[in-house]
Amino acid sequence: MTTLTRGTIRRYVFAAALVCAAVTRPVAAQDLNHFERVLLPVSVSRIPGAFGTLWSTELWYRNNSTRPVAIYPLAMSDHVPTMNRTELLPVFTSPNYDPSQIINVERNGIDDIQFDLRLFNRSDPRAKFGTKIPVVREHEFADAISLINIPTAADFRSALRIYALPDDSVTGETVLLQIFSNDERLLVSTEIPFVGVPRYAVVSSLADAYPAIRQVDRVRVHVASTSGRKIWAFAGVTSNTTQDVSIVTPD
Amino acid sequence: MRKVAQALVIICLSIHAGSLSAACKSEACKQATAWKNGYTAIVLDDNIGRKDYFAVLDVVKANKGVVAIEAERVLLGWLPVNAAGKLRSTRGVSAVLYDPAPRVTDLVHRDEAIAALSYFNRVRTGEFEDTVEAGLAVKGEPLTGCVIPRPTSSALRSQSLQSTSSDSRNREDRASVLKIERTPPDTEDPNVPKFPGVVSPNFWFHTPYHNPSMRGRITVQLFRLDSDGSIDPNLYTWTNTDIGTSRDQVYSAYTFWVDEAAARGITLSFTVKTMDPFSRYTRSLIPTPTHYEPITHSGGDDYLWINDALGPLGYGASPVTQENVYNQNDAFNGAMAADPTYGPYDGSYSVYVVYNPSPAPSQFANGQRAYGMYDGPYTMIMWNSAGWGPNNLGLVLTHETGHIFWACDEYYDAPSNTGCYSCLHCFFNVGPRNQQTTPWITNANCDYPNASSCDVPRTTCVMKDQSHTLCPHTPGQIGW
Repeated sequence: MTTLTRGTIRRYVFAAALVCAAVTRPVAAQDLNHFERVLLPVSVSRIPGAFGTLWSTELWYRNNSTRPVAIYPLAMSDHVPTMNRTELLPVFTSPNYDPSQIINVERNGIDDIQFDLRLFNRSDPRAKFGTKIPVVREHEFADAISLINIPTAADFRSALRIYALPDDSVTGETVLLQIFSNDERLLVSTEIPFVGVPRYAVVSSLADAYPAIRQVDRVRVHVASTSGRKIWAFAGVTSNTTQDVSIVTPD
Repeated sequence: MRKVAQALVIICLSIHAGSLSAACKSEACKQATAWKNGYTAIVLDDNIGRKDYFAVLDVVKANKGVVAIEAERVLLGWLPVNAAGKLRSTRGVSAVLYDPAPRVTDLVHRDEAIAALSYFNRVRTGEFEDTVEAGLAVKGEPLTGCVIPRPTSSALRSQSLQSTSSDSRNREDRASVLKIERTPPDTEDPNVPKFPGVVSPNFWFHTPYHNPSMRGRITVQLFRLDSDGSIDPNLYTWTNTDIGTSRDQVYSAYTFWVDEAAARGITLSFTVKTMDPFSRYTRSLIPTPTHYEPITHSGGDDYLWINDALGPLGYGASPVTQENVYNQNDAFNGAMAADPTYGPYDGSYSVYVVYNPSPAPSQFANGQRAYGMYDGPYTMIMWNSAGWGPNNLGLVLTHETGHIFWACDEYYDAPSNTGCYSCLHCFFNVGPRNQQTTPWITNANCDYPNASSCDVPRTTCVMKDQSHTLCPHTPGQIGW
C-alpha cells in the first residue's frame, strides 16, 4: 500500500485548485466585455400621471452599419432588427415607480446605431410629437451630476430622476441631493433613498418637496452617490397647463 | 373458398402493412412520440355544466390522471386504465377511450370536438407518427445546428431534473442574501403620484406579469389568418386539409409541454379555443379573415392583422397603433382567462397562424421568422416557419410557447447575430425570474460563442434547434 507524502498531497491540492479555478463560474461582468449597458431612463406604456395624462414611450432604432448589432433583452423573441431601416424596437416597459430599462448593446457596432427615445402623452391626441429622452451609454455615468436652469415656478412641475447601473450589491444606499441658486447659494442639502435594480431615486416635484427653492426662479441641482457609485440624472419639466414636457440633462 | 381465403390473407396483409407504415421508423420519432403510450380521450356530454366539468377534472386528478388538452367536449391526456370505470360513471362523461373511435361523429358533434377526437385517433393509430417522422426529415433555417449527438430523452429528463433540483437548492441558499428586487414601494410614497379617477392602463408586457409561469390551466386563443383580398391581394387560402393539419400540430405542441410537466409533478393543461368565425353557409369554422396577406409584410405590421382578428370579437383598437392593438390583445386574453364557464385560468395568450404554403416565402418581408412576446399577449407562427414546414408547425409553437412563459432562446445564429448572448443569465433585470432577483436561473446551454460559464457539452433541444426534447435550463426559466 502506497502512502502519500506531504509533497504529493501538496501537488494534488495544487492540481485540484487549478482545476477548480478553471471551472469556477466567473462573474457576470465577463459577458459585459462584449456588450455595453445602455440606460433607457423612461420606458413605459400607458402610465397615468398628473392632470389625466397617460404616458408612453417609443424607442426607435436604426443600424447604419452593414452587419447586425446584437441587442438584448427585447420583449419579442427571435427578433432581428433590420439593417439600414428605422424601426420601433420592442423593448420591455416598466412600472411607474421604477420606469427605466437597461438594454445591452454589442460593443462591436454600438457606434453605428442610432436611438430615438420619445415620451408621449397619449391622453392628448393633439400633443406635440413627443419629447426626446436621452439614451444613456455606460460611459456617460459620472461620480456627480449637475443639472442647471431648472424652473421652480408653480406653472411647472420639475421631476428629478437619478439612476445607477445594476450590480450585485445590496440595496439601502442614498444619494446626496444639493440644490443651489444661480448665484451658488445652497438652498437644499439632503439625502434621498437610492433603491432598486437598477438603482433609482425620484423626486416627483422639486418645488413641492423642497419649498425653500421657490425663493428663486431657477436652480441648479447637484447629485452624487454617497457610495461612490457612478450615476446619471435628468430633470423632466412638465407644464401644468399644457402638459408639455421639457428635459434638462447634464449635457 | 380458396380464393376467398387468399383474398382475406391479402386484406390482412395489406392492413398489417398499412399499420406498419403508420408508425415511427426512427428512434428519434419514437422518442418524440413516447407520450402516446396511454394517451386517453375523455368524451363529455354536450350539455355538461360547469360544476360537472370541474368534477370530471377533479376525478381525473384524484385517480393519478393528467389532462393535457381541454378541447370543446373532449379532454385529452393520460388516465390509468383502472380509473376508467370510475370516470365513466362520473356525471357528464359519455366515453373514455384508449383506442381509436370507429366513428368520431357518433360521439361528438361540434367542430372542435370532432377535431380533437380525430387527432386522438391519429395518435392512437400511429398515423400522427408519420407526420412526426416527416417533420424530423426537415430542417429549417437559420437556427444553428449542433454537432453534439442528441441524448436519449430519459437522460435529458434526468439532466433537467438535476438542473431543477440544483436550482431549488441554490434558491434556498441565496434567498437570504439577495433581497434586490424591483418591487413597488412598501409604504405610501409621497413621490409616487396618486390620481383617483384615472383609468388603470392595460399593461403591455410588464408587471404585473400575465404569464409568469407555465403552470396551472392555460387558455390559448387560436386564430388561423386568411387574407380576404380587400386591401392586399388574396394570394394564399387555407384548405380544409391544412386546417386539420394545423390543429393536430397545435395539439401536439401542448401535449409535449404537459408531458414534460407531468414528468416533473407539475400541474399543467391547455385549453385550445379556436377563435376562427363560424360560417352560416358552410356550417363550420372558417379561417379568420384579414384585409392583409400577412406573409408579404414586415413582421412589424402584425398589429394590422391582429386588429382584424380581434375587431369582430369586440377588441378592435382605435386608433390602430401597435401599442393600442397589443393592449387590446392583452385585454382580450384577460377576458378569456376570466371565462365564467370554464375559467378562471392561470394564464392566457393568443396564437396567430399565418398561412404561407409553397411557393410563399417562409419568413416575413423583413426576414423575421416565427416569434413570440415574452409574457404574451401573443405568438405569431407560420404554416411554414423558416422552412421547417407544416409537419413541424407544432414544434415551432412549442418553442414560441416557451417564450410566452419566459423561456429563453438557446440558439445563436451568426449571420443574423441573433438568438441568445449569455450562459450566465436568461434575463438580467426583467421578467419574473432574472439574474438580479433570482440569479440561479441561468441559460448555460446558450450557443453564443463568446459566452462564458456554459454547459459542457451543450445539447440540442426545443429552445435551440426545435428538437423534441426539453432544454436543461428551460424548466427553471418557466417557473417549474
